[in-house]
Amino acid sequence: MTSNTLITGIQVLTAALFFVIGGMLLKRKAKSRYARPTIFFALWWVIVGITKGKTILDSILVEYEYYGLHIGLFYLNAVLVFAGFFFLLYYTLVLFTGNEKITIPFGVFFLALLVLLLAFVAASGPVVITEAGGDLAPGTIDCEIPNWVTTLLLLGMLLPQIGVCVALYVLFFKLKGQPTQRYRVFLISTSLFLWFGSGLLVSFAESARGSDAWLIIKELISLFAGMLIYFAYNPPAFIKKKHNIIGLADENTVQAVQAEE
Amino acid sequence: MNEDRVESGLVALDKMLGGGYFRGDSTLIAGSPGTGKTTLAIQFLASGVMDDEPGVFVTFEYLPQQMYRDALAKGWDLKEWEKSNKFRLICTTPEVLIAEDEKGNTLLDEAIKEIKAKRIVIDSLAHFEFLGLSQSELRGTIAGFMNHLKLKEVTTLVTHEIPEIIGPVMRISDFGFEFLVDNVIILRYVEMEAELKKAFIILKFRGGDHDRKLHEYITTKTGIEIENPFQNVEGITSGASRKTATQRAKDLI
Repeated sequence: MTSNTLITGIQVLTAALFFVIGGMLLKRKAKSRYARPTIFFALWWVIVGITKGKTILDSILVEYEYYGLHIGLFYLNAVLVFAGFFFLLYYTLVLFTGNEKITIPFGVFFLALLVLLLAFVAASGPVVITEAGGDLAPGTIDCEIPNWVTTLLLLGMLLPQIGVCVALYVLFFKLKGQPTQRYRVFLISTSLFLWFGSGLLVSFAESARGSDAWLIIKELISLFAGMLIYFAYNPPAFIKKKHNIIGLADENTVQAVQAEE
Repeated sequence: MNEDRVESGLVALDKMLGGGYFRGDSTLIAGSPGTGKTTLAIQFLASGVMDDEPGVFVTFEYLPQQMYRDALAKGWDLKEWEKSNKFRLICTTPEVLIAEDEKGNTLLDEAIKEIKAKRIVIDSLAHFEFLGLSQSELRGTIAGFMNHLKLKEVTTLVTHEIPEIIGPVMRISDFGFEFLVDNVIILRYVEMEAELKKAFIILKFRGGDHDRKLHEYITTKTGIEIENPFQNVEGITSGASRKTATQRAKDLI
């Protein structure tokens, strides 16, 4: 097995896992007033799965030396990533404030960042790298974006998400007497840290070109992040029993019974 | 200072106050219309009737028949109390109430003397605003009136209306009534998840420690019942409460 096959295999597993998590959360029987943040949270994980799927598709297209879809996929991915970031932030803000209106300025902010990114990419005339051996790998989009825009985009995208992770960790310490929520919030926040952290590993991986070890580690971290979320909502039996934690399936059953009553 | 306590008529409130009101103290019950100020005040007098502590109810709002009827609906037979000299109802105006006769006695003094009253209710202080006095004159009049009652060694409850039904209450009155009494209790509506609930708040309790938690209360056929404190809810005093993040976590995580 080549390292590329191994990486793609891990990516397929990770994408599938995030789709399962997203689907599972979309089926969650949320209280009506929290329907939107619950759906947004589920959509965030679906989008994580889609972006992983996009990476897999990119690799397959490069393998078949077909580069006609890369730019389109790049734009689509950018839109989805920004939507996903907003969904995650929306969920966290509603969780902490109970106020959905407070999310509007953040929505406008993310939309402005997205427009800025797309405008600069489109204006620079993006090109898909098709030849191996250069600084950029085949399938990469080569475009000229000013440094200040790159910095702004990175800060605008990363800072709110780091804030989300920190806020959820803080909530973990405040959730006393709610073992299920405590367990879930710990795994969710750890998973988010790993997910964003694995993104930072890309730079290591790229700088260590020639050594696929970094890329494999990065993909394994993503897979592990997905497993944490999965187990957050489907705890193993011994954890359920030992820590008095309930799974999403049990929760849905209880709510269905209550609704019938 | 008098350490003797007077039961409020509500077991839960006595517990919140650490045993009841201090004897001889004055308490302001402030609240929006319909929050149960008058009911709470009558419960205080009813408790006195049971404890052989006669009481006087002064109202500037109700006619006698209205008072008898409404109280009877809650199980308090005011006429019966009057017959046994445990209660007096005075339906009057602030001008008449504070007017002194040639001996310097007021209408209230006479009633206190007549039944040896230990408890007084004035419902409501807001009517003193219609005396047409300036802010400082009115404040002086009320302060004098409250001191007068204190000298009579009666435990007094005065009610006052807060016009705001919901939303933040910035002040209880324009005249600073809350500074002229020993204790302040606020009864108010709070919006909680599209439902109107009532919150019982002890804002001030001079000379003693008290429960600082905000309790939910309900008005039943037999009077006010104070329930458990609101849990995991914030912003109650703003009138528009919301769950805390830890409470929302139950639904969202």
